[in-house]
Amino acid sequence: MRDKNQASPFDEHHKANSVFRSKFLKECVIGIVFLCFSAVFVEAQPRFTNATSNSGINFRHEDGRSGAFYFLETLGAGAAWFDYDQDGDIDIYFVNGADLPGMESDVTPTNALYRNDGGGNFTDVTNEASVGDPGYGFSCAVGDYDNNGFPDIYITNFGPNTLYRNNGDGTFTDATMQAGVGDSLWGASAAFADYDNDGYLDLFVANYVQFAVNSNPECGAIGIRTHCGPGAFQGTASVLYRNSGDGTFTDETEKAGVWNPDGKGMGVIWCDYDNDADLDLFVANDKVEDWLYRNEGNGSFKDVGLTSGVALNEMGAAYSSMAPVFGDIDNNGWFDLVITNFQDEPNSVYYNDGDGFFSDITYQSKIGGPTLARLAWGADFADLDNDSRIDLFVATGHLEEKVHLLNPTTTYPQQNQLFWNRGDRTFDDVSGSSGDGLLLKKVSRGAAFGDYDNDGDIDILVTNSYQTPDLLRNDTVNRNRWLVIATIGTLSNRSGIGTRITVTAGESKQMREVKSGGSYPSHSDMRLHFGLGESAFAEHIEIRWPSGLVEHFKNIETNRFLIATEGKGLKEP
Amino acid sequence: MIHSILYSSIKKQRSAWCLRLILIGIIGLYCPTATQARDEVDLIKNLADAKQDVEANPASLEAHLNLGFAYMELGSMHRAEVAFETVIRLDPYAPSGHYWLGGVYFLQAKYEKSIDVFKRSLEKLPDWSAAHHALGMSYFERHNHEAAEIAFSKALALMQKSDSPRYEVPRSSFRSRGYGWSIKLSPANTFYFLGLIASHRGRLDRAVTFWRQAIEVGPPLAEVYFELGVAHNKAGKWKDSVHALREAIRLRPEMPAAHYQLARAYLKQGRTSEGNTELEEFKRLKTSYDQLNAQHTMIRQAPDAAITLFRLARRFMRQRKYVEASREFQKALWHDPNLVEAHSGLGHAYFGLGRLDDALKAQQKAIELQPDMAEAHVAKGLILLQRAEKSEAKADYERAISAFRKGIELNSKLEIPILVRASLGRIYLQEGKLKEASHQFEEILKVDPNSGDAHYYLGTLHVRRRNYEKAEESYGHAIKLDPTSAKAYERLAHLYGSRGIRRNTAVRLAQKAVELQPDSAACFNTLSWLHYLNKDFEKAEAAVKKALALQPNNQLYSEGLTVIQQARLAEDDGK
Repeated sequence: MRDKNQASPFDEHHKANSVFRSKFLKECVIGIVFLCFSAVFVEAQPRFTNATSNSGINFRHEDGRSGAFYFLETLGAGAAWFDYDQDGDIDIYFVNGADLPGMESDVTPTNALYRNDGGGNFTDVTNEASVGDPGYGFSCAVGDYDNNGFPDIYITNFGPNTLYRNNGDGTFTDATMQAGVGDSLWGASAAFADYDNDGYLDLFVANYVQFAVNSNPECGAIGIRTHCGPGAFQGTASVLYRNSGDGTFTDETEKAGVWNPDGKGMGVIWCDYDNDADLDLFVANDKVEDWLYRNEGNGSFKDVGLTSGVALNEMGAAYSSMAPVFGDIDNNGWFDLVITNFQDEPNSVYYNDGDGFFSDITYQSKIGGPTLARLAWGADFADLDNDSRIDLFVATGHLEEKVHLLNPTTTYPQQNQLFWNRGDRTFDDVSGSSGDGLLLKKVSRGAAFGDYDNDGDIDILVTNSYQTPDLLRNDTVNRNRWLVIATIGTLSNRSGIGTRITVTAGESKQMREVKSGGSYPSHSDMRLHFGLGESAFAEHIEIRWPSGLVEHFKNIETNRFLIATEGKGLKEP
Repeated sequence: MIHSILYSSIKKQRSAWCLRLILIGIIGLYCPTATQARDEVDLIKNLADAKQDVEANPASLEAHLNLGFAYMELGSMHRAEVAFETVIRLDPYAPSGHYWLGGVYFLQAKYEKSIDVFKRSLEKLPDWSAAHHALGMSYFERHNHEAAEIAFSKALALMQKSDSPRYEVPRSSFRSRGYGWSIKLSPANTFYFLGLIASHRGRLDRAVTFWRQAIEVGPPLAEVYFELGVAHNKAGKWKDSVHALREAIRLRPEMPAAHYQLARAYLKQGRTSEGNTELEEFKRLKTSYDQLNAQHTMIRQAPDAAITLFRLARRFMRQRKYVEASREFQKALWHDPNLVEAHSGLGHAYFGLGRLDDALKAQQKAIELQPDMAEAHVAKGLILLQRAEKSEAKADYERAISAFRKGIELNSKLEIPILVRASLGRIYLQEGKLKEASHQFEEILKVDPNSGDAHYYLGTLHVRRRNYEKAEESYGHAIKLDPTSAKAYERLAHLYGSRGIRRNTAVRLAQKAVELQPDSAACFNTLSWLHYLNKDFEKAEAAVKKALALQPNNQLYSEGLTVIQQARLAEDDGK
């Protein structure tokens, strides 16, 4: 583990500035102030190193392309950070595509599980664990649906989805049939959550469009064959599975009021956006209005997307939405919303007004402008420099290999984007100055976030379409402190999904919710990470469990990993 | 010299491309074509004229420019490019060639090329404000806000100078936000874009300043009020927001985005009822525009797809937007001159526009290409009937009948317009083909049970069949459904008179008929006859004289007058 408190190389620079100041203070006040601010800014800025090459990860995404331009080739696939063996460090699950007509791989592409061996090394344990689903996969979500203490994996496919139950001995069993969750529509993403707070994880599957490989329409522009857009296909309904508590699920889509056959679901996220202690559901649709299903607290939902202001853009039009992400950008106690969108569409930023309405601050936040020229996919908020403000990472990449012929100013591979939170509801685009990990230009799709080296900062796993993934290690150097808290539910679901933790440290009061799924089409480390600036102690920690139990803890020392067990307090692993 | 060529070109095109652009203002936010095409343009004829002009004057810049415009109108951007490139080849210093070439690239979203061409255009004429503006728009579409701001600022500065050449620029059919290409170059328009740039940079206050300037300098643009409304929404200035958005809607009622934002402003204030009303209006407009945009997308993806253009035209026809429909039918025909349905559709569009001769030509072309096209025959009949009714040309009337008959003969299950059925029914009635006539009127009543006319003619038909009770019933229905129908009153009165029943009622009915239609000689004649039957010769004479006054040469009325006068004499003798 690297020492986060080691001297920064910028300290020398700082000292030099001090000498400079003492000598020419009166003459150079303005210049010195500028230099000081520059130094502080650079010091705080996140830095990422591409750590893939020696990690042992040799996974490569396959999309089955053969030149037939099947629509499903373009969406890529996701990955998950989760501690499948409960050994204290997070492992990786990669979702893969499959062969399509016209393509026969020598080795059948399958999903893959990489065990984290520590020291930045991973080992492929797919076969031992029996999780090599060969379906044409897109996303995965993780949650302990049977409350046995070991996280299970749900994979959405083009075709029947798959549920792997974790046996707790390093192996999994395909429990799809038994659980009754093998929805056969084109699942783009999924997320577990206990929407009825009965202690068992339910599951929402966002389905995309009606497509069949044997009826693949031809599309193109200026004589160049391209993949068709979503407009060429009919939408389809998504599915809400309610966990019966006996290892099976029932389809409650219509009963719960979330059935809509016009949807073209890409991303899904659960979040208690209205602070009423139950999880609401947001579904990002492709070129169809997005849905914000407010949990009515009685097992049903009401779509308030249009009236709340998050269903459409300012023009009243639907964007090609990909990933929805909730996060409290100004630490005011209300979750705000970002949705990644297609190229020439800005990533939408909706500020939660706290009264059931959202205000569109896309351009005011300064995220809108820089994202117009990128095709954005997976994203999430995370405090990447531990300064107590959540930053935003966005994975980008076009879906047409020959897009440069259609638009000479853009490219198929694109540089991912990092937006640094300034603390005033605006962000700085620091993509070009955040280390070599951010300078890569690839065809990115998924992004999963987690502290894989347990050094107190958030690393990022980026999946790339028809390419190898990138493990971006967070090598930010500063003195900022942190807390990472894992949750174990006892009355609530065992994963603690939906648990809200609020940490007060110094002047900041931050909240996070444990979530499954989220960033297109990936799943992040479920341990909650808090950057705390220079605070040595968190004065107050509040944990609100889905069961309704609220626990309070005071004066918790920072720079620690903690486990919160419902009703049993906080402890170190 | 350059300017004069440029302006003369514009002048010549005012009836077509440019004038339309000037009229339109900035393009609809949601759908570029929603507000376009308010004038009628003969696209194919324009092209033919332009080609002829080029053949006659191969070295004329103006001729090639017009050819380019004609191709642009038809959506053939590649050919337009060639035409404008020819202008440049003929005169490398002609800014108009560069400018319009840039415009064509812009319309195809080839912004790198349009930027390059506009820059070259400005090398030739650095003080050309419109080119700076167009360059700004190209940069804006490329999200190069810095360069766009510089270009717009230059345009604005130059617009203040009276000697700066002005030049309209074409609209855009592209881009998701649908800003389009500004049409009438004005400082307001440029301020609008400067505001957008500031807004995209997150500088909302600066944006609001620009939009306020746009309003100050005018003319009023719906887009400016819309953006101001959105900005006020963000600032929580609900009153200002509602005011601005209402103004946007006043300027352009079919602007879905303005209704959406207005709904948001109302809902945020707790004005739920008003908010929901606006939301419903928004949804209605959005559905329509979404469908239209989907078709435009298809056309862009397959520019030679005549059938897609044809479908779009039909969509306009359903909306009774005949100008837009005629344009799309023409584009379809340009891509496929043998698309018989498009010829017929164009005929319908012209008919809707009252251009009967052109409509007839289009239907005849359809029949020529497909002689068994029943719909075209019926449509042709309808046009001829309309023309006959306008000019009372008997030949047209007969040709109409012939066309109707041909259409029905070709397809007995054809869905025939009511107007046609009514005409056919009358014709059959006149010819004594009572069964056929009855069928037509009954079919009308199936579609429109409240058709007073159909009941009226059925009454006449029943009289012919000597089924007087039914005739009385039908006339009664006709009067009930249309209490202003003088002919129904007159015929019922006549029926009672001829059967020798309800004579007093008959007189009252006839009096009602003449009241309703005091210029109807027939009504006066019937009234006269009924008075005569009641032996009220004085009134009979007065009535028939009124009929004769209206139709002095009517032999029947003259004879009637003689009979009445003889009767009066006989009565006097008897006394």
